[in-house]
Amino acid sequence: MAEQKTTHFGYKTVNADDKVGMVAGVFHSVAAKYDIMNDLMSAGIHRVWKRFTIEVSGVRKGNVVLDLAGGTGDLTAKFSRLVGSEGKVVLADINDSMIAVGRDKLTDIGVVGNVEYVQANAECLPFDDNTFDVVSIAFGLRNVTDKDAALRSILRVLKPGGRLLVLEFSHPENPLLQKAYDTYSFSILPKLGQLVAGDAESYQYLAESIRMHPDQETLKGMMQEAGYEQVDYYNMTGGIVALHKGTKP
Amino acid sequence: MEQVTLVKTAAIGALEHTINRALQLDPGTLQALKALHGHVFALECTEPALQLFLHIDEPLRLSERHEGDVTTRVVGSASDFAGLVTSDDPAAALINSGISVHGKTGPLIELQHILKHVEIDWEEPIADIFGEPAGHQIGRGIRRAMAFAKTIPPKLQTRIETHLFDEARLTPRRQEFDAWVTGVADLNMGIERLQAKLNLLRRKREQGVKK
Repeated sequence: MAEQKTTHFGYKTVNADDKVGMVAGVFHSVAAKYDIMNDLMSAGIHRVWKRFTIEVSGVRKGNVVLDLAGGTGDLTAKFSRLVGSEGKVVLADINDSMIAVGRDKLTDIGVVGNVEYVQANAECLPFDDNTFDVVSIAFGLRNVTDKDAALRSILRVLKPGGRLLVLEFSHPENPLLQKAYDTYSFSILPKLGQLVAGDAESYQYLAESIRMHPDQETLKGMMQEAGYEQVDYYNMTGGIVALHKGTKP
Repeated sequence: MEQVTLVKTAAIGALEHTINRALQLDPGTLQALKALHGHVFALECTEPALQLFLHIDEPLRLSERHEGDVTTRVVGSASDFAGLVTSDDPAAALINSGISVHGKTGPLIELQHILKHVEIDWEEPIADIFGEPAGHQIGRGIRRAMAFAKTIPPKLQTRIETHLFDEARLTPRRQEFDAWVTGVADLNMGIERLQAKLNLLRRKREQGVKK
């Protein structure tokens, strides 16, 4: 009998083929309350992390941008303004519930005309080679089953000289901060999730998936291994979040 | 690896938000800014050390980083920038202050001119909260207070001058000071002339003795 490939789903080890469906379940569950939970969980700081990401992206008028795992469209809204009517932003997410929430939200605030919505798996992106000037994936990579495949797929769709930005929860450098962060993640976060979104399990998964995600240096190495150049990262909020940046040669 | 200080990013974000909210209450300025759309101004403050890019767009954008072209780069201290924004004669302020300008100065002067004439209509947001009649009354009160506030600096300056010059006699008036400076200069010249004459007489006497 062929051996089944396994992967992490939080602290659990599951069949690799099952992870996509399990992650989808989490996001179907939290989609409607995703924005409000982000504000509550991070005390609004996620907006500053995203603002910094936008600045580092260097996106300008006429650029074609892929906002991968774009969720409810926070980055897409900002990219849309920067690329203008000559450019284009593609919001892609594997989860149709998140895309529906994102599309409604962006349409309501008037972000239309230069935005397209695509349901896609980061591991096998349905775009031509050398399509995008910038690809961003914010708080999405840790949910991808095969991260190496996703990094290679993104590299393929980037134009030469194009940039990948990975904004993701990471590992605090200070042990005291790590301890406080652990207490918050495993004691408070699930309760907050239960209270606001009526779903403690999804937020338990969130905390676990962050701990299982590669640390800053490991992710940097993975990006270099996938073929990116000038790979570097910025630690934010003491390393709770890191922004990795790499360029396609 | 770079450790990012998010306080600055957050502060710039808040400032950008505030400016755009204020501009929404001044359609005239928004209209005037359209002439400068696409321009990017770099403000490089030497003290405190800060670099800020102002992207004229709708909405207006502030950023710490910018990789594209810059219309004008202005370098100076915080007080130099404050002086430039409030100056009646921006061109003269640019030349006479400690500010150095690189790139085009025309758009910068135009921007300064627009910013100097910002006139925010507070009535609209107040009316949204308190209703039309109360909003109108409060808005009128704010306009009067702001008009009065604009007259305070010149009035205050006149009163301080009167006290210092006439009542306390702590400092001389400008004319008195100028007359004193002229008198000192005249006296100095007189002393120099006298000294020259004395030197001449001394030399003549010495030559007479030798003969």
